[in-house]
Amino acid sequence: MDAAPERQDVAPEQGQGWLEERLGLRRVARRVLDRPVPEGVTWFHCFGGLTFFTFIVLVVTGIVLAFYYVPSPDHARASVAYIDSSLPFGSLVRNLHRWSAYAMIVLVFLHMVRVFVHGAYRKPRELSWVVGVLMLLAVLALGFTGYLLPWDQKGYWATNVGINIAGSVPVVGTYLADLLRGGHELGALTLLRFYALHVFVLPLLVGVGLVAHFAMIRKQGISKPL
Amino acid sequence: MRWGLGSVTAAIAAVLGAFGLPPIIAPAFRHTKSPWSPIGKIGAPEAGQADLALQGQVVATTFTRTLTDAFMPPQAQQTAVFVVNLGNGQFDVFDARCTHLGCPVSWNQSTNEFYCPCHGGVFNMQGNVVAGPPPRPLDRYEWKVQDGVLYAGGLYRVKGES
Ligand code: HEM
Ligand code: FES
Repeated sequence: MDAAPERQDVAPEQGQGWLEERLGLRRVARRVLDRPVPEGVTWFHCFGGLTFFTFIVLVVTGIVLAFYYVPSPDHARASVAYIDSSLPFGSLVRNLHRWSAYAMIVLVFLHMVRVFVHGAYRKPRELSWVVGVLMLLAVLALGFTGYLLPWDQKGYWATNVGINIAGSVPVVGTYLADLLRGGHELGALTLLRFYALHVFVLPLLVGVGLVAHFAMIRKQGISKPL
Repeated sequence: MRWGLGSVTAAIAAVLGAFGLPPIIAPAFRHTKSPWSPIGKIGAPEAGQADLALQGQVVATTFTRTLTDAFMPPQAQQTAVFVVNLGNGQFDVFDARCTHLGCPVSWNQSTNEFYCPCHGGVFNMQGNVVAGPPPRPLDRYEWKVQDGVLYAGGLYRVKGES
């Protein structure tokens, strides 16, 4: 019988705590988080990170809301009213979701303006910009789809108008509008597909975009300020 | 293998797409038939009802349709319309939604025009665009008269004319 070779790949590090001794997480954290940034980075460089922060808040509060919200014409309003008035901390969570959504739209534009003013979209960062634009569209779509979900008058008519705007696109407009509505009239299917887009499809798209966005930033570093 | 992995991924994506997309797109192509629904009796209106016997006048009213919205139980739904009795048993039944972006228009008695509050669309009594951004005349409902009662059917569009 062969003797099992002694394993040497994990260096024992003493006096570092139980987890650290086994996993060496500190080194990983240092590798991931300690990146050199160019001199002269400004507060304006925070807008991307702040946008990401609002996204995290939206995901967490959105998951909580999904525990109570019912995407059906006969229950949507009642379930939102329940969250608002009966659920402990419900209105806090709902308002966090709502205000973070507003903040995210504002911040993502500020981030884009910062990148534009600094000319940070230039070679080799064109793809960060392109992915950014795709995420911007997804974020705006998140705002549009989310607005309908309370199924109140404001959301209903705003969606009506929004879909009619899509309907004014030359040639394919009517198909586009019917596709968004899931039929010729705004109704149960519209609410349901906006819900599916709002909680599954669009956040997933933004998530994938963020992975690509951040991977590129890590690979290329932040551009030198002007 | 390099080649194989790519095409296997593409094949899986194609199959998933082929089965996933149709059910998402399908409802957009389904036409539901609108039932004939009574707007009201022509002449001798009951209290609170519009007088459909008045000729050459725009009468704002609503009718009730029982519609089935996907999985929801059938539900009575109020629809706002403008009815014009043209005389000789002829009617125009206009949809109250502006053909621009769908705001409800209102009838202005003193100027004989429909006004849209959203972006200033104006239509005349025939439903044609007089001013503003609406791309086509007011949409109309099919109508029929049966036993002295005016009925509304399906909604349809008319081409732009001036
Ligand atoms: C979904 C929302 C977005 C998030 C969470 C996000 C996040 C970030 C973060 C954290 C950075 C690091 C540098 C900084 O913060 O300025 C960054 C960089 C960058 N972003 Fe975004 N971003 C988003 C959308 C966009 C959009 C809409 C664009 C442009 C259309 C864009 C283009 C870029 C570019 C070109 C860089 C590289 C900048 C440089 O190297 O100086 N991003 N993004
Ligand atoms: S919706 Fe009527 S003019 Fe725009």
